[in-house]
Amino acid sequence: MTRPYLIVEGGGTLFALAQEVVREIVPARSFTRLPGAPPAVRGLLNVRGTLLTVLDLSQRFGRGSATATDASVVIGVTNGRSLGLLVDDVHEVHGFADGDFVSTSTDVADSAVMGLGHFGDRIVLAVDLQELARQTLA
Amino acid sequence: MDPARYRELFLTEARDHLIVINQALIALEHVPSNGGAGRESVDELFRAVHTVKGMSGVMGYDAVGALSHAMETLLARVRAGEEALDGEQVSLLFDAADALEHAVEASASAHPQSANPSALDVASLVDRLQGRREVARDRERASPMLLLPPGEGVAVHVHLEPGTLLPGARAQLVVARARSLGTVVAVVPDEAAMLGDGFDGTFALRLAAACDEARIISALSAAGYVREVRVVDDAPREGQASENARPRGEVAAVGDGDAGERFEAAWGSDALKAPLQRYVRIDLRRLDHLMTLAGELMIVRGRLAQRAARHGDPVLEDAVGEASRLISELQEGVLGGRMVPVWQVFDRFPRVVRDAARSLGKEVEFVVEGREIELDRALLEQVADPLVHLLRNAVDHGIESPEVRVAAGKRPAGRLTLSATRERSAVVIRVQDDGRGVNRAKVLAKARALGMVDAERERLEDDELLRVISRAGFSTADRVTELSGRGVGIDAVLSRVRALGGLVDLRSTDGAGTSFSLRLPVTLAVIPALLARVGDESYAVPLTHVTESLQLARGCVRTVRGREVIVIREEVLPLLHLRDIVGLPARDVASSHVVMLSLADRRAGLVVDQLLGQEEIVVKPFDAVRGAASCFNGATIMSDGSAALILEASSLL
Repeated sequence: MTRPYLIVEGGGTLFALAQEVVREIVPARSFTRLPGAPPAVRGLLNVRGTLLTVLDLSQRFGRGSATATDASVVIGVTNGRSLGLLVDDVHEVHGFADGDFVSTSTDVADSAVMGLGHFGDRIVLAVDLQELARQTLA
Repeated sequence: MDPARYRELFLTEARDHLIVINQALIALEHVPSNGGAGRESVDELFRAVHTVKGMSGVMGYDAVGALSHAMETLLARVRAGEEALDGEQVSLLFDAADALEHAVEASASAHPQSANPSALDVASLVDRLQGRREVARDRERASPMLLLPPGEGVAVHVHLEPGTLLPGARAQLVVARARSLGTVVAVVPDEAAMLGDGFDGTFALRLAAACDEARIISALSAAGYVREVRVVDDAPREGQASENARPRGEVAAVGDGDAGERFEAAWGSDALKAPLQRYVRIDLRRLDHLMTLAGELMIVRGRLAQRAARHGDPVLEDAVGEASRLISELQEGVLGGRMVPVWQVFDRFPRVVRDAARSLGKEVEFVVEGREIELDRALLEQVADPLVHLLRNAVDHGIESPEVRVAAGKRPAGRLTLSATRERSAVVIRVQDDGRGVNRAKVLAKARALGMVDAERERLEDDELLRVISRAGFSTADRVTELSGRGVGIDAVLSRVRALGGLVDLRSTDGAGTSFSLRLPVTLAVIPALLARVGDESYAVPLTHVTESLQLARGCVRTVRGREVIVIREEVLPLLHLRDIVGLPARDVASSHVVMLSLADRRAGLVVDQLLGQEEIVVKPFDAVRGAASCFNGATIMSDGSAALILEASSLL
C-alpha cells in the first residue's frame, strides 16, 4: 500500500512529507525572529491573523538554508498544533510504500527522519512532521 | 430534533441551575425552611430542580431525571408544609446536588451511555430521598372534576403544578395554547376567577379541535408547570349518557408529544419569571471569531490611514477617519460582548467555602462583594482555579478554629471576603480573611533555612513573604490537609495570574488577617502597549508595567558593582537592554530611550533604540518554541502585516 507524500526541496535537498498532515502552502514573507530559538527556527509568520512558527526545513537537517526569493511555507498540522516548514520549492505529490524508505547511514540517526527513498534519480529524505513539531514546539 | 445540538445548551443551563441549587441549600442551612427567607430558598431550590428535571427528561438523561425527580418530590412536600427541612435533610440534599452535578456532567459527555460511575450512588440517593415520601402517597387526592357546560368538542381538565407562581397567568397560557389548536368554547373557572387569589391551578376548558388527544395533551403540557392534562370526550352519544364520561387518556406533564416541542416547553418554562428575554447565549467560539475579525480590521485600518495620509486628499482622509472611528467602536462592541459579570464564577464559591469550613471544623461567614463587576470571560475562567486555591487556603491556614478565635477575643466565626473592584483599566479581586495572618517567624525560619534571605534577617516584609511562600514546594503547614498545605498552591496562583498579565499582592497583619489581591487586566484580547524598536525589529511593551519613558542621557547611566544602573530623581534602578534580551549586539546608549518598568516594588529601566508610540494592540498567542526566550508568549500584528513580539515585563523583573 502506498501513501501520498508531498515532495519539497530546500537547500538542494529533496524532502518527502506525508500529505495527510499538510494543510496548505503559503508564500513566504517576512518572519518575526524569535530570540533564543534554535537557528533553524525562522520565526513567526502571520497567516491570515494566526501566528505560525516556521522552521527552515533544510537547515534543520543541516543541508543549508532555503534561499529562494519565491520560497514557500508548507503548513503542517499535527495534534492540533501547526508548524510551518520553509522550503525553496514544492514539487509534486508522489506515492511511497513504507518499505520504500530505508534508514541506512548514520547520517539519519535523527528521530524526525523516517528514512531515505528514491524520487526519480534523486534521493529524498522522508520527514516525520509530527516528530519535528514535537521537537520544535514546547 | 437532534439532542446533540442541545447538549451544550443543556450543560450550560444545568450548571447555572446547580449553582442556584447550591446557594439555596447554603441559605437553608442557616434558616428554617418554613420561615419567610427559608420559604423563598425552598421555592428557588424547587424551581431549579424542577427545570433540571424537565430538561433532562427531554434529553433522555435518566440518572439526572431520577435524581431531580426525587429531590423535587421531597421539596414539593416541604413546600406544601407537610415536612420541614432539618439539618440531616439539607445535607442529604447537598449530597443529592453533588450527585446531580456528576450525573449532569456524565450525561452530557459525548458518550452518555458509556459510563455512569455514580449509578449506584444515584440509586441509593433516590431511595434515601424517597424514604421520606410514604406519608405523602396517601394524601394524593383524586382531582375533583370541574363541571363544564355541555357543548361541542372535548373537555380538557388541567392541573398545574402545586405552588406554581402566578397560576392564573400560567393557566391563561394554557388556554392560549388551546386556542391555537381550535375553538375554546368554554373555560371554568372564568378568567377573572383564575386571576383571583383563590385559584388553585385546577381548571377545565371545552375545546373543539380537529386534533387527537395526544396532540392536545402535548401542546397544553408545553405551557410549563403543568402537572396533568386529561382529555375527556363527554359529548352525548346515542345510548350513552353524559355522566358516563370516561377519561380517554391521562398523561403526566411530559407527554408523548413532538420531541422538539417538549424541549421548547422544558426550556421555556421560566418564561413567566423573566418577562422579557433580553439575553442570548452565544458560543464563545463565535465571539472569538468576531474578535479576530475586528482585530484584523484594526490592522487594515492602520494601513489605510497610513496610505491616506500620504495621498493628502482631505475627502479620503475624512472617510478613513470616519471608518477608523467606526472600526474602533465595532471592536469595543465585540469586546464588550466578551465581558461577563464575575458572579458567573464567584457564585460557585459559597459551596467551596462551606465544604472547606465543614471538613476543617471551622466557622466561616463568607461575604461576596462586587459580583456585578465585569471581566473578560476567558480571563475570568482562568482565575477561577487560583481563587479556589486562595479561598481554601484562607479557610485552612488563615481562619482559626472557633475555640482559638474566642480565646483571642474574636467572634467564633471567621469572616472571609471575596471582592471585585474596578480600578481604571484593571479589576482587582481580593480574598481577605480575619484570621491569624501569615506566620512570619515560621516563614522567616524557612526562608533562612532555604538560603533565600541573609541569616541575620529579623523580619520579612509583605512582598518578601509572598516571594518566599510562593516558592514551589514551600509550605509552613504542619500537616498536609486534604485542602492545602502541599506547598503548590500560592506558586500556582502566582504563575497563573502573571501569565494573564496580572499582579498578586499579599498583605498580612499578625493576628488580624491576610489579604491576597489579584490585579488583572479587564480583557486579555486588547491591551495598551508601547511600541519600541531595536535594530530593525519592533517589540510591544504592555503599559500595565510601564510607569514612564524618557530619553537616555549618557550622564545618568552609572556602573555599580559591575551592573549598569540609571539614576532618576535620586533613585538608583538597574538597567536592562532590550538588545541584550533579544540577542542583538550592544550599541552606544546615547540617543536611546529608556522605558521604566515596575512590578510591585521591583523596578528597572529597559533601554530601547527608539520609541514608536503607544497603541492598543490585539494580543495573538503562538505555540511556544523550545529554547526561545520565555519573556515572549504573545505577539501583535502590525499595520504592515508583520508580527511584533510582546515583552512580558513581569518575567524580567
